[in-house]
This record gives sequence, C-alpha cells and structure tokens, in this order.
Amino acid sequence: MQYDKYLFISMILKNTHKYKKAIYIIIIFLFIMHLNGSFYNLYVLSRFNITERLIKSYGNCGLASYGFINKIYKNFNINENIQILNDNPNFTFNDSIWFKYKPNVKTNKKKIILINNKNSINFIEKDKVNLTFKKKQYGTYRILKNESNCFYLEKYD
Amino acid sequence: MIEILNIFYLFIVIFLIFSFPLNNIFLTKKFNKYNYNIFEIYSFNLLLILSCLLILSFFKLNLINIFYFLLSISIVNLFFFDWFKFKKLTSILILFIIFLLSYSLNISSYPHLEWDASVNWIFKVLNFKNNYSFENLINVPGVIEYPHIGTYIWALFWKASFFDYEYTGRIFFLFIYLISFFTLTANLKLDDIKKIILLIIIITLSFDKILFSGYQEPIMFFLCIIFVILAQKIILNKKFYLNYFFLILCANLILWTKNEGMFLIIFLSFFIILRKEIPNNLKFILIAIFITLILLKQNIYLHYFDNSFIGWKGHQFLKLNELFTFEILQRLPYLLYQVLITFFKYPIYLVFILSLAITLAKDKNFKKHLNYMIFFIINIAMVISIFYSTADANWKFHAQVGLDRILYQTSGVYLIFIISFFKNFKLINFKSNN
Repeated sequence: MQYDKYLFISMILKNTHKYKKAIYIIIIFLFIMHLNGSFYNLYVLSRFNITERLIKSYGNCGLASYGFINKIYKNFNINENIQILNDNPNFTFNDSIWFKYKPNVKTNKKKIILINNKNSINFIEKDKVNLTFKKKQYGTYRILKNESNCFYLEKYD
Repeated sequence: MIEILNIFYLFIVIFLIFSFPLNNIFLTKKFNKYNYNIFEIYSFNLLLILSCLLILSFFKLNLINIFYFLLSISIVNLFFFDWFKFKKLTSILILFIIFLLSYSLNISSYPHLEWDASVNWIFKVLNFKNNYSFENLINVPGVIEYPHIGTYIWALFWKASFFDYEYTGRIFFLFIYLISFFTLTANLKLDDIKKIILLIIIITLSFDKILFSGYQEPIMFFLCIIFVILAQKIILNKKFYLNYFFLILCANLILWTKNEGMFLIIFLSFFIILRKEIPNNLKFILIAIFITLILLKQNIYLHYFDNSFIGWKGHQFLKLNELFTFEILQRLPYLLYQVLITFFKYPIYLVFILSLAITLAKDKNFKKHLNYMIFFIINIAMVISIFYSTADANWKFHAQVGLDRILYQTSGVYLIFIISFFKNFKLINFKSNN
C-alpha cells in the first residue's frame, strides 16, 4: 500500500485539533515555568537539601552566617538562645537571631556567637580573647570554635 | 522530591480549608441571589477564616489543634461540596495551580527572608508557632506594635507542614495573592484562552518576588482588592447584607495586617462614600464601624502593651512649624523621585495613569472616576507625607526600603480600573456579568 503523506498530515492536524485545549495548557505550563525559572528551581530543590539552600541564601560565614550558626547549634547540642553579634558594618540590624530562636527561653549571656568579625576581638592568648562589640566591653572569652571570622565564644570565669 | 510532595500537600490542604464554609450546597442555595463565583467564595472564606483566626490568636491554643479542626470541618464539608461551582473552570484552575507551583518553587529553592521579615515578622511567627498567644508578643524581639494576623497564618501552615521550614508557611501568601487576580477576573465573560492571557499579563506585571520574602504586602494586596470589589458589589435597593458583613471583616483584617492599614481604610472609604448605590445611612454606619474598629485596635494594643503607634519604631512627626523649613522641603524631590521609581518598578501604576488619562480625555467625566482619582492622589500624598513629616534623621533609608512596598499593597485597586478600562474599550471583546 502506498504511503499517503497528505492523509497522514491531515490525521495529525485532526488529532491536534481534538487535543487543542491540552496542547494550550502544556504550552502555558512550559511558558510560565520557564518565565519564572521553575525548572532550575526544581533542580535546586531536588539537588540541594534545605541546609545547603539556607547556606546559599544566608551565607556560611558571611552575611547572616546561617552555616556557622547551624553548625554551632548542632555540634554543641544547644537547646537555648545564645547571643549573636554581627560585626558587619553594613548591617543596621541583626538578621541572624531568628535562625535558632526559641520564644520565652532565656538567652545564655555566657556564650556568644560573633559573626563577620572585623575588629571586635583582641587576642590575649591563642584561645583567649577580649571582646569589645560596638564600643561595649564584654570581657574575656574563650574560643570554643572558630571558622574564618566567625567565633563561638564562652565567658572566662 | 519529598519537599515537592510537601508543597503539593500544602496546596491540597489550603484549597480544602478555604473552601469552607461558603462552598456548601446548603449555603450556596441560601445565598443564591448573591451569585458568587468560586474565586469569590474562596476570597470570602478567607475573610471569614482569617477573622476567626484573629480572635483565636488572643488565646493560648495549640496551633496544630486549630489546623486539625479546620481541616476536619473542611473534609466533612466535602460531602456537601458544591462541585457545580467548578464547572467549566478546569483551564483557569490549572493556570492557578501552575502559577502557585511556579512561585512556590521559587520561594522554596531560595528560602530567604528580607530585612523587615527577619528582624520583626519572623519572631511573631515563632511566637505563634510555639503556641504562645498575642499577649506573649511583648517577650519576643521585633516591633511589638506591628499587627500580627499574617504571621499567625504563616505559623499555622508552617506547623501544618511535614517539614519544619519557615518557607512552607509562606506558600499561603502566594495562594492569597493569586486568589485576588482570579477573583478580579472571574466575572469577565471571556473565553478561557483570552482570560488566561489576561491573567498571565496582570500576574506577571504585578509579581515581585521580594514581597514574598516574609513581608505582609501580599495579604494587604488581596484585602485592598477585595474591599473595592465588595464596595462595587453593593447595589441600590437590594438588601445584600452579606456583602456589608464581608466589607467590615475585610476592613478589620486590613487593620490587623499592617499599621498603615488605618490610613488605607480611610482612603478606601472613598469607594463607599462616592458610591451612589449605597444609601447615606448605610455609608454613615459603615464609616462609624470602621472608626470603631480603628479605635478598638488601638485600645487593644494600649491594653496589652501600653503602647500603640503608626509608622515605624521611633517614628515621630515633625512639629507643624518645622514642616515647611527649607531643610525639610529639600526632601520632596528625593521622595518624588522614589515614587517615580516605584511607578516603573510596578508598571500597574503606569498602565493605570495611562488608562485614566485616556478615559478622562474620552469621557470628559471626572465625577465618574473620582473615587479612583482621589484614592490615587491621597495614596501618593500619604506615602510621601509619612517620610516627609518624620523627625527621624534616617528618613532616606526608610523611604528607600519602605516607600515602594506601601505603594505596592494598594496597587491591586488600580487593576480593577485597568480591567474595566479594557472592558469599556472592548480591546479584547469583553462582556461582563457585573
């Protein structure tokens, strides 16, 4: 039997007409998803876990330093609020407090997380520092963890 | 992958919860004369449920119990669900879900809170998420006097989620935002494809990702639109009292979403005052109720926190004699420049100005569009005066980060005018139910 090209094309067009609505919806779906970068977002969501995405968004040790703060809370098994000081001069506010904040739980003043340190600490010894944040004297602290310019400090008794 | 499933779970839960109570075969029969479409039903259910949640927020209740209660009654309601309301809406509903999915992927792949959210709003969310009441807001960081209904619902859906991530609560903000566009266009008698194109254009023009980074603007955007839609629904000599009731709920929610809501209520009242179809005595009653709601809110804050303010923390007005000094007058060019930037940032404003100019040139009837003109002028004047009249030396910074957001939340109102403009010009062959 000879292959009828025109009949074949007309059949495809007929079927296309039949599924016109579905085709429109698929086109619109692809258009909106592409417009909003949703395919890339889908990739990000399936490729990176929430901690990685939060670090990408808030920084590891820099910006709001989610990565460092998260690591401290996890490694030191902390279940209380800890004072967080952000030495970034561009910040008029501290946007890191909420990461691990627990309402109605006392803030442990003996421990401090200092992020984006510029010149808030003066080394006395290798693990012993003097903390002065925004002209306020905090006293002497022991470094429990340090990564780049982020510090987890404990008050020296 | 599990997170994507969680997003779909939240979609289902949100769609279910806010289908109650009005989408019920008994109620739709009873309120048949109102002829509400499905998106209006969802919008008014939102007003009802948010108002109930506002009351519940004053009590120390377990948020998850509230969620289970809402979910249970909405599941029971499925047996009395009016599926007829969804008839011939498949494509429009699919479009809604596509937008919701697309924007949800956006906020979940980059879960970032902007500055106001990360230093103010999120602490209110954490307060409610940990089952504390409104009264406990005094014990958490951030500005106590900021209203809280948006943060309460954020906490509710965060807690309802299978994952303990704050962004899951913000998916509701996308839902409420998108509902406003679909409610706006629901009564237009257009074929599906034209309506879809119209929706894609207006949603894309209006969407700003930053405003979904924990800000309350999407809720205000929705409430302002619903307020004007309700004001326009009131028809002379027909006793549609349910619309008045929803209007009052909407006004109250505006007050409890953001502090500037107090001003917005006053400005939005022009849509009531200038509407001939509303009898004068009802206008008076409505305005009196709005004033009572404003006073009630102020008194609640004074009662609980011994403080109440408008603007931002530390905001103080300049003395009258200082307002027109050369130093203060110098602020005007900068503020006007910021307003101009906002017009380009949110092109709804540009389209509105253009369509208003064309309408006025064509109709030469200023009275007909006086409500929109007054609202536009005083809205801009209010925004400028907030930053102009403050004694805060940091006014420039506040104007930079706040002015555009204040203008954004009311921009939805102009969409109503824009749609009616295109309807009148019959550019895309509109026929309306209204």
